[in-house]
Amino acid sequence: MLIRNYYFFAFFLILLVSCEPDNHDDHDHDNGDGFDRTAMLINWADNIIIPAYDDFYVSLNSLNEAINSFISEPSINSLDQASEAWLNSYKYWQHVEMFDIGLAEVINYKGKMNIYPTDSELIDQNITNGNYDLNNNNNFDSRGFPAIDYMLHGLAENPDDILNIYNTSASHSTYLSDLVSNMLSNTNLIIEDWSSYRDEFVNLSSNTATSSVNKMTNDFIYYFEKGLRANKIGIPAGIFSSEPLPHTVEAYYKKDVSKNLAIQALKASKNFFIGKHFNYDLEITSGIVGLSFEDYLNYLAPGNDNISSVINTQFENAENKLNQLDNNFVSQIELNNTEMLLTYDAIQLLVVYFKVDMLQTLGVSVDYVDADGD
Amino acid sequence: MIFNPNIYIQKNTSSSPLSVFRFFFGFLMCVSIIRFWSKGWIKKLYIDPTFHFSYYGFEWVKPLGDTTYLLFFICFISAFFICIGLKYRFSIILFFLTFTYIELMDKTTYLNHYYFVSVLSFLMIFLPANASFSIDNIINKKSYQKIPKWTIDSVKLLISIVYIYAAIAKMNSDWLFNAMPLKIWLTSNYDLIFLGDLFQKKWVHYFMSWSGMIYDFCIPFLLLNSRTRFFAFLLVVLFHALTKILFPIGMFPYIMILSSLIFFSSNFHDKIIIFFKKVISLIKPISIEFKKVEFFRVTQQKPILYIVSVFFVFQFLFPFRYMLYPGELFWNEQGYRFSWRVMLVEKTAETTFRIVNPSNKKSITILNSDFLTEFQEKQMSFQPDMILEYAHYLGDQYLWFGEGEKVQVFTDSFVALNGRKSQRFINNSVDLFSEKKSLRNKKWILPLKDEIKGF
Repeated sequence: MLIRNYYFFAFFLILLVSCEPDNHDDHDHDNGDGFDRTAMLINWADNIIIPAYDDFYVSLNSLNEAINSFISEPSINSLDQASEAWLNSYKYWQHVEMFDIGLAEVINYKGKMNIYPTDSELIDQNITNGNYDLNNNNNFDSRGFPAIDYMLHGLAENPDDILNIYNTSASHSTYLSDLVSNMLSNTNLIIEDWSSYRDEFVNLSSNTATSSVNKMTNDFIYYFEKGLRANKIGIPAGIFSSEPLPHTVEAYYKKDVSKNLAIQALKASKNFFIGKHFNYDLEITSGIVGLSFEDYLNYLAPGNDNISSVINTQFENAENKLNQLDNNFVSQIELNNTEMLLTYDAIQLLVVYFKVDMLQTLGVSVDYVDADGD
Repeated sequence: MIFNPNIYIQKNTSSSPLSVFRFFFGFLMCVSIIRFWSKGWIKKLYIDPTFHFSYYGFEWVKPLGDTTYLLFFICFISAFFICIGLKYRFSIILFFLTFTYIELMDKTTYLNHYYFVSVLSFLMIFLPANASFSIDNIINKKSYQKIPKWTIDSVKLLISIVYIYAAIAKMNSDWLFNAMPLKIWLTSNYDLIFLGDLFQKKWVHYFMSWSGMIYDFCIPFLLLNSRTRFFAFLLVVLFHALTKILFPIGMFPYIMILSSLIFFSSNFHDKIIIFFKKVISLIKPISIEFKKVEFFRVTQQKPILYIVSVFFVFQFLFPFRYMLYPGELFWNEQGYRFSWRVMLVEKTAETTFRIVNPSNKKSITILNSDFLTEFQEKQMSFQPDMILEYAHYLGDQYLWFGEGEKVQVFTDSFVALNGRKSQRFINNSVDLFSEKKSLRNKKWILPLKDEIKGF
């Protein structure tokens, strides 16, 4: 009896020690639950994220060229072309902002590209001093697309006066070209990193806080909630303040494109949700659809009125609401803010579906809760 | 065989099981506190947050700033004293008070196993757990071989209550007939070696649900019976090892495994004590002469027995208080805590608040992250009493917004329970700021659009 007691005492000690919960396997088990997570990650990386970055980079290069020719020969025509290239690139940007993962997260890439409202006073100061480091986070709201928006559309009331500024002040030209160079070099870093990060991303298919599926899920929802819902609609419409804040719309100085950018952002989110391959033609509606959240949800919770179909329907509702808005959010807010609020509600409902229904169905470990449960 | 309480309380038994139990309990508490501290949770859970969720009636229990560390330190020292059996009665009282204070500081961190530690340490105040194998023996030059049987039985009873009540709580249609929420939790553990694949199978979900319920119900009886005890202990180890792999439940498995040793014979515990004494004498040979006294007489046995009886009546009845509330317990959580409902529900939620100025109808939507940690926000989002407490806090913070009038606080709350689709949780036309905090039924919780049958 004594020997037996000692044996099983030792047995359970060994069992306990061997059961420390770090035996989650980070590799290979892509077919664990019959859903091929690795294939989903490959679809995300190879058919969505990397092509979107590549095409965004192309558009950014066009913007760079347009700005260079504007600087060398300021004219109404070259200003228009720079503005057009800016808008074009800004649309592509909407398709990559949500990928705050890998190096993008490390260097705060989205904070370098699209913080708005931009601080026009800080920009003026930088131009006057000529002494600025655009990679320094003190300049978080004086760089990226919103800063270029100000430089191309907001320096003066009308284009002639803007031209006048560039004709007389070389430091303005320098700042404008520095802005776009900074965006190019940072984007280049991200793209280069993805060429090596891609394999790591695809292989981390487990269910841990640091795995790609979980991080991307959290990033996607975070982007949708903050980057899209709050920044583009909620904050300007005054959801989080006592009064509407029209000056906080995206592309405030260009004015008539805020809706256009928001539509691209919603489209990018939907495409990612259904797994649609990125297409250079942003307006195209057809295209190849690969594995993504939609398929994963269909796999885990099948049925005709399952959560992925609820989400798809709500995407349509949100798109319809958004389409009804004025191209210029500032005038929409000033004339009829109720429409903005209704659009917000439609998008907020998607946030609920993502954060509540989708997260529960996916059983994704949420990255922030570091405490015991029971 | 008629049970006669007068004869029963006279019965004696070996003191070693309770002494070994005390030793392991103190040891595990020491480890728990070191673990908690080293993970930075004192700062993260009790010092960093600006707002803390209180228990009804215990609003005065708050974290003490940097003194909170001292509180944990005292708790640790008392646990260590319990382990070695030094000034036992004083130490266990101090431990009970500090540990319980810590648990009452913020409702966010409520865990059944913390509650278990609190009630167990309360019970242990009245038990002679230092009768043998303790420093107190050396100091008093006395060691006791026998203690009243009821003292050990009371610990066994408490452990049995935990298991059996946990089993009863699993007797519901979600757990047994939908394998929920195990289906969600097991499926998502796809990356475990070998088990990951198994956990995808439907029959495994049901097998685990049913066997979990049957296990909880039977384990006290299997442990009580000497012929099945060894087998039962193997089950305890297997079961808790599995929960340890699957869930982030910290020290709970170790506590339950070592606790179940108390069911073993005094013979077994004597061997453990001899083993430890050998180890100690290897390090530092000691030979202390002390009187071996046959029987430990509990002073004030009568009042103590009254207290312990009341304690158990409370333990029997309190978990059933949910019956006083209408509606689905898993949904409205009225009477959910302190009832051994362990790992029964999977809830995800999104709850936002709007402050409204009643005169001009202007409103502000609150970013919860401005006031709560992510952990607090997650817990608050699906627990009505926390939603109400937070709504009141927000109302107080935004008094200025009313410009002289009392502001209103409305909430948009959506919850998904055990794989159901999300539905609105709180009536969004009710001003929570004018709802009183109380234990009464919260009428502003919208009913679950489904029925869960069973306990």
